[in-house]
Amino acid sequence: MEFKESFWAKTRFVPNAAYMFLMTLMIFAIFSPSFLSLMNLSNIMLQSSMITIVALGMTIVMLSNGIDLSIGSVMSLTGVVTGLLLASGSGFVLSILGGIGVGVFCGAFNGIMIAKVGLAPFIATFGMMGIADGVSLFAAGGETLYWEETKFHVIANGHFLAVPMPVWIIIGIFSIMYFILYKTPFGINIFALGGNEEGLRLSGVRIVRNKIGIYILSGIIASFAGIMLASRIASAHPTGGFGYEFEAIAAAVIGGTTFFGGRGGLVGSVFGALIITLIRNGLSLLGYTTPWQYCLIGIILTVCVTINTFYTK
Amino acid sequence: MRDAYLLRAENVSKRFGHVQALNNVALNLKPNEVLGLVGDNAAGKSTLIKILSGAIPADTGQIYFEESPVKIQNPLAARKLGIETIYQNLALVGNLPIYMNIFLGRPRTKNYLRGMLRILDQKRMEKESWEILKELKLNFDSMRERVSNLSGGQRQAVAIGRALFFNPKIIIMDEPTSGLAVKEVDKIHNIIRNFKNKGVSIIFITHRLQSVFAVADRVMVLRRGEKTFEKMLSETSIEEVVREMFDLKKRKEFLEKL
Repeated sequence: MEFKESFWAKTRFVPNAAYMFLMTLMIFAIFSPSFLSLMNLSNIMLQSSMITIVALGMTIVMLSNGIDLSIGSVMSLTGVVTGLLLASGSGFVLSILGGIGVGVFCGAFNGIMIAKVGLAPFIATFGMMGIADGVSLFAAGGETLYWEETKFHVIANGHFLAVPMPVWIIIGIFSIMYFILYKTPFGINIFALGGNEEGLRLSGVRIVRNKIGIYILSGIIASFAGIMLASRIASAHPTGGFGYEFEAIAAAVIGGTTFFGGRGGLVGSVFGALIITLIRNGLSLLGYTTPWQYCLIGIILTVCVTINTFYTK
Repeated sequence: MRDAYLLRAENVSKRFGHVQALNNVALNLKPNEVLGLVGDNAAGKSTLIKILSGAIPADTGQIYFEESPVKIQNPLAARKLGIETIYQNLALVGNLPIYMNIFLGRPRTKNYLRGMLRILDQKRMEKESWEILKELKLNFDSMRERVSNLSGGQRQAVAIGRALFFNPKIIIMDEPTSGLAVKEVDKIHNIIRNFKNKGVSIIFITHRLQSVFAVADRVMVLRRGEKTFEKMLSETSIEEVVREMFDLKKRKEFLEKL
């Protein structure tokens, strides 16, 4: 009865995105040998940290056959709230807790709209996107916020054991998300919501509770990203998170997560985020400007979706 | 003195918009009894069992389980009472492995921090799934196979395994033999007989009257949302049941008058 898999059989769990990442790395290395320098590689890891964080959250929502378009705006709002708290002298810990509170609140609101009121996730989170943006701009008075507190900057700029803090933060978030998704009943419910929501309901699971939990989780992760962003640029811009929801979706999709739920994984999304960052970084180095980068990322996205569709057939 | 009923539903009504799906329907089930629920399409059979399984709420009606009044407000409440249901579409989650489907909604966990942290006990679920499916005498290679990769008969086995695992008092089956080959239909009949031997009561909906006459003790006919007929199998015949299902008595008299 023991089903022991051979080592090579286990390799089917390596997502396609990992191979694509290596391929992209090789291609850029051919064009520009300095690409593989340690400094550039660790630079890439650092640059990708924001997208990786939001991609992890988006993956979980997408697995449950949902979507969260509000994460960029929640990032901005978190930055503003944290910034206001820091500027008013509330201290490092309280400001961060306040920021996370924003994520919890927005996530809960999204969850209730979707699970109890019955709005489609696209619509509900689209609405939240606008609301959070508006509140951000209002609260910040339309200006960028600054503060004197300096401990806060350690989050994005500090090092621990010679490894940048953001990398540690990603490892931490990844580990917790991995644990939740693959080791807890809640994680199973996330996959099941994507696979057969009605089947899950008929088995006795409280769907509303689980869905709200998923969007709260997404909100919290968005707030982590918002805090990281504010820490990195040592300021809070009321629309700083603009566009991150699409980066997150792109990374998740490149990593193998589909819009229909049930398929995909966290590891793939990490590589998806790395690929996007790699492309931006690489093209920049070679002298190609932002329009080229967007174009190539779009092409890669289409190619990846196609490959993954064939793979799952 | 009459025997105590295991399940009694009285005065059950349900309306969907303009359609009165069920109108003042009563259903009784004795312990260790097999009840066949039949009727034409849209007679209300699926609606009735969905109410009993907690999938949908009734508009009116009172349900008594072992002679105490109960409220079956959601699927969990039904399962807690010991009512397990196998739906026509099986309600399995295709992207999850077999063992996870067997335990869907009630996973085995190891609890830490006084129950605050629950971690899935995958090894235990795999082992217990294997055992229950072995009992049903169906062959699987691995409990980790994705359910979407299984054949129709195998998926039904998983659905049955799930219903059986928690030692239910009542198993409700919605069209258990639809889409099955003859040999598989016989298997289902044997499974139902096995359940009965274990002391379980069964309600099953079917269009295949031969199944009713093969395994049921009693038959109940619904027609356009109302119960029109109920008899012990020994006291009736297929012809009579068909007549009741489609209200052919009136037509027969009508034709005779011509």
